[in-house]
Amino acid sequence: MEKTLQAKALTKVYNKNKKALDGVDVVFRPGCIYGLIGRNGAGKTTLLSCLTAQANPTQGEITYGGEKVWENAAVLGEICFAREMSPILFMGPNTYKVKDYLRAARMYYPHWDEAYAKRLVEQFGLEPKKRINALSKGMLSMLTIVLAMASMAPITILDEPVAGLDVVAREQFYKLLLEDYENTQRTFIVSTHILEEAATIFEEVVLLDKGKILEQGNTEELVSQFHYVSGKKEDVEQAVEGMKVLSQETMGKTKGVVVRCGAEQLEILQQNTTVDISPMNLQKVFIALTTSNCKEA
Amino acid sequence: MQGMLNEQTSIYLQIAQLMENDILKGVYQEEEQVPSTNELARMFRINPATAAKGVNLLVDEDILYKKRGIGMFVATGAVERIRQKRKGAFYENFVKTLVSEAKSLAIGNQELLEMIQKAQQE
Amino acid sequence: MKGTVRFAIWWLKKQLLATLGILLAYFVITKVLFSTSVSTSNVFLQNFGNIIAGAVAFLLPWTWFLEGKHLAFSMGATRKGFFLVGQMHKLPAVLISLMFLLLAGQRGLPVVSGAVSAFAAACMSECMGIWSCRMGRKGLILFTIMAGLFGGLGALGSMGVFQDIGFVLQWIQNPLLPWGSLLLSAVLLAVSWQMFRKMDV
Repeated sequence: MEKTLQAKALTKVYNKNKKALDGVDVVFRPGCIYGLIGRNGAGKTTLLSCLTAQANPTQGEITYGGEKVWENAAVLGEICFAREMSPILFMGPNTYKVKDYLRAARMYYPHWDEAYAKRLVEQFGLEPKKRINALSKGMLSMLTIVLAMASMAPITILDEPVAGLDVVAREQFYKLLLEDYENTQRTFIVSTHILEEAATIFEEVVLLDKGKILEQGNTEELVSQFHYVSGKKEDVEQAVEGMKVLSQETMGKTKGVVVRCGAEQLEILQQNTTVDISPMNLQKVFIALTTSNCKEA
Repeated sequence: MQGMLNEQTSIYLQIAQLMENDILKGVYQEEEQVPSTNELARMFRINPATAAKGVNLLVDEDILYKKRGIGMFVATGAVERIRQKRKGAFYENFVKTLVSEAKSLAIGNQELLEMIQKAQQE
Repeated sequence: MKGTVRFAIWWLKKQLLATLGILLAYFVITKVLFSTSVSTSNVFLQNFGNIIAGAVAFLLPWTWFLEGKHLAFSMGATRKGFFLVGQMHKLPAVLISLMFLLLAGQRGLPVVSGAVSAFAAACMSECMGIWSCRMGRKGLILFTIMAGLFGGLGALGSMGVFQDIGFVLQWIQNPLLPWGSLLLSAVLLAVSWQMFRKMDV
């Protein structure tokens, strides 16, 4: 009953030379809320499209419960990919109505909950007869959320669901997500680049940068490996000698560095009273990891 | 409730600490039921797995226990257990800091003791 | 595939309703502009039927791939199911063609020719639709121009504007026409499927 969604050695190349994804290995186990974190253009949507057979991988394999996802109707019915809505379609403005999307979802998703959908539509103040190209950014995001939630799919994927929402609406979404998770225990994969406020929601995170997986695992365990060490330049340099330094900044005589270390090294570091050691949060860790890469390149 | 969490320590540790604080203060008596993992998750707007981690920590330390089908309860003797645990950490977390801060401010031993006595009388 | 079938039926209903408006306008225009250039109502019926069938053959398969695809695939359709079920969107063109030919008093070969040609036209439209998807906006513009020329010339030709009406009637009596159309359809279906089966949607 519990199935894993998995990508192995996933590579996606566009136009012969643009590698959107490069050898991605990722596992999404059942009953967990995942955060898929990445900058704009990192490859999040491409990854999600490949996972849901909407894009054809150049190399690699995607499976759900051991079965290939590609052209597999039974599997695709168990996965909901709620994408960012666009007011423009291929041929021009998106003249589909809100109710068209809801109707189509009802036809395709075997677990679709119509009552839940109606409740959410009312709660969000969405007008069923309104056309997509006439909806505000906030409303577009809310429609994405309604489709995802009411799908009741065992794996529910939301691509940038809070992109168009203001801070109050975003909080409402996180609450809604946790409430639903409490009841359904389904797997959620939420892609976002708004980190600070969402970090506590994600049990696990997948960090994606330039088409490659930087890190994946338990959010808290990952973040606890990083520390910000600051103080006098010489003291800091001595304290972090031999440790993995990700980034550093200097201001006059003081210096601040981001280090990554295990529990043992941390203890040694903490015994050093000449420097200040501060914990990091997910956002700071992500920035350190991605800008660190820039430096190496 | 979310505002009670900071970024200084892991969330699950903070959850455990906050629950311990409440037990010490008497908000929850021994053998009284405490909020469930899901309630905690909702209150603090965190993932239930994180809340569960914090709760399990307290279960491992015999501060909470689970009644099947009902929920989590404060164990008998939990208050004393928490006190003992914190006494041990008290020296590291508070006393050492007090002494080193006094030192950096050039407050002498006698002056420091006088300050402590004054605070005890308030 | 059940989901795609239900979706296709619903989608067809929506499209036909929208198409009806366009066709009604078309009917009025052609009746007003060209009724003087045709001598018998049967010929008019047949030509008009040709135009409507052509319009429907053009609109439905093409928009199925450009608009219907968006909704269907965002909900988890498969390419095979979408392509197979999409074949039903060629039926309206075939049925309309049959209807008008029979109404115009035609029997036998011309009826078969008309119906198969309508199917071939729909296959052409489907092929162009998929091709546009692959080529992006450039393909869309190119196809629109070609469809406009193709359809416009065809429509005018059917109304006898460029040539003798008799030519059209003779053409539809040609036994090679249904075979040629079937062959063309088969080739176009194979090409379309090849283009579509591994495409990103």
